[in-house]
Amino acid sequence: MFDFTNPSRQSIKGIAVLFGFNSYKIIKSLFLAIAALSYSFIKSGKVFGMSQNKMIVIVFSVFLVIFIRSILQYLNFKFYIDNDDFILSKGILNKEKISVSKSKIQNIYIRQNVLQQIINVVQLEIETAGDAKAEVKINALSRERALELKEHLLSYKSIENKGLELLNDTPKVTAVYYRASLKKLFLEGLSQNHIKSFMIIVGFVGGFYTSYEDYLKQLKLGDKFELLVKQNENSISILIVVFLLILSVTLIISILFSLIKTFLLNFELQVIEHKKTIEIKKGLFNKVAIILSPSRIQNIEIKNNRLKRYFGLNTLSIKQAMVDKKLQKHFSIIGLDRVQVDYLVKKLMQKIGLISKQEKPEKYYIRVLILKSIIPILIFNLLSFFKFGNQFWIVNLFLVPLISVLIYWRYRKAYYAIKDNMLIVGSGAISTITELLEFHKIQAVATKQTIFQKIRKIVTVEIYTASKATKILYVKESRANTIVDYLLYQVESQRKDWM
Amino acid sequence: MFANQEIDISTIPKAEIVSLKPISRSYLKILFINNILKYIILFGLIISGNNFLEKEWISNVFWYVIILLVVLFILQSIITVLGFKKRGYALRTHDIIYAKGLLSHKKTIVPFIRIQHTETKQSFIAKLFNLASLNVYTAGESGGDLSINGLTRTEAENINQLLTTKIK
Repeated sequence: MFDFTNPSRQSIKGIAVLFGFNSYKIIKSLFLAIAALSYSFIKSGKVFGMSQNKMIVIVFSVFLVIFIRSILQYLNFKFYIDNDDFILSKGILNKEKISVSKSKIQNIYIRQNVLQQIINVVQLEIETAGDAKAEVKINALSRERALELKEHLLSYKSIENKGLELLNDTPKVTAVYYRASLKKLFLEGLSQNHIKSFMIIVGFVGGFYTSYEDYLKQLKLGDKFELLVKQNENSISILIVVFLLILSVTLIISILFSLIKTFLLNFELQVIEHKKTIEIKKGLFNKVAIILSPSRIQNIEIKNNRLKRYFGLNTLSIKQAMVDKKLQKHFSIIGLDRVQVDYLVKKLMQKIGLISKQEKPEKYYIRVLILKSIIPILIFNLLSFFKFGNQFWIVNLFLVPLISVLIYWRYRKAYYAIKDNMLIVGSGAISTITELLEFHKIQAVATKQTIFQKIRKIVTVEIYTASKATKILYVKESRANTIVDYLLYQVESQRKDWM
Repeated sequence: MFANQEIDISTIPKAEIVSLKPISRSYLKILFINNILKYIILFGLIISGNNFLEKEWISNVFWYVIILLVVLFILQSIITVLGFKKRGYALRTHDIIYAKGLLSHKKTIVPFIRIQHTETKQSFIAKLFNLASLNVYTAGESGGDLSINGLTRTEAENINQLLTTKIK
């Protein structure tokens, strides 16, 4: 039996582990410098005119410093259990004291790397919900002590483990609710944001070009093109044809790219309904199967645009807590019609119902958008000035109406609504985005106000869940206060678990 | 019996009327020390660059850069002093409030039941002034965390103690 109630250090072998970690860190961060110095050492037998002996002394003293640091780190590292809290204090100069309530511990890992295997100790890591912010890690413990500590820490945990919910959901009422047809995938691919695909292609071609620049120069494409232009200097029509040709080719490539990407990611997309959870299966080469469980879902986002609405193509993105970052991007279902969206939202969260009153941001939002658009307008004007000289302003004939329309849409689509137990926030310019979140998923609430907004008594409210920050943009100060008070009241009086 | 009465919005506790407790005055000194250290490094870099590189274009712009830096330093000092008054925290029965920022003021409120864990930190300089900072972490990956700097050590320990009993 080990005593965990009094502050104690880790195993004395921890010094070796810390020494290993610290040396590794230093060598890793100085890798380039070390490589360069060794190179010059091998080449000339000297570095900065220092002899071999001096070099050895320097290297030795560096490791001595690391060693002393490791000892100090070891001495200053103490942990203990105080009732229901695990408390860890560390730091040589900058002292740190971390306390983790037992009830908040999600997972405890016991690991061993090569070094730890050699000296026969294990590493214990405590994971609290969500993320890697908390560095609660003990580097060297004997296996028996680690296992006992783990047991102590988990002793608080009730049997009602959230993870079990997933396992116990035996597929009794399993049915495939939705299967994306090839037609839907095709339409989704066509109505994607091709500008994005275009940018990816431009990036790719750019990278390709720089790596084969010399070779391409030999082909003298530029000269040939110039020759072509010179020959037909008088006929601008040819230039326009060439321009249109290039444009349409890139457009076709972009569309093809979007189509292929949509097919690869969403091939055989299936939504399978279990009793409590929903499973998504999709992918051609990289097949993924994801389980969505209502208790873990933090935010839901519904996205469409005018064209997609016409074809009945809504995208449902789900933000779930404690999910591998790499997997998070797969948490979406495309090609759903309105009825299916409503059904899935009801199953995963709650019924949206009719939003009777959409509250708008203040007109100040338009002013902000206009100010923000000045920079791109300036850039385009500058580019056009270098290209067309004094007739640069022509570009504004296209640019200004385009940006005005975008600003108008952005303002028109921005709204928020607080209804039943849900916060609904709308946004988007070309696409229409609806964000949904339930009150009991809220982690914290903040208000933000710049000095200019203070004069106008305008505030932005930010609402944080475990996965996402949702913003209610530019509302009147009094209104913002009511929202904050109301949301906090709901969170604090419901006392519901967020997960 | 289950009752579901309508909530009267006007009776909900108001977070905006809570007066925030200012943090320790000595934290202003720390802010200044940090600020001065930062600018000493910047000045040092520029002056040594001017002396050692001996390029003409550097000595041409040298004084402009120095003046610009001095102006920036003064501006930042003013903002630090004015912004210091904007820092403050408060504890209510069910949540903790922290606000800061002059040009952009942010007030964050974290309900106790959403706190994952807490942490007190003491940097080397803060130790000299007997100050500590209190970090409050939620599961919010997206920024719902608090970091209250410039509390006296006992204050930080007391709040930490209070929070650990509250978050169970």
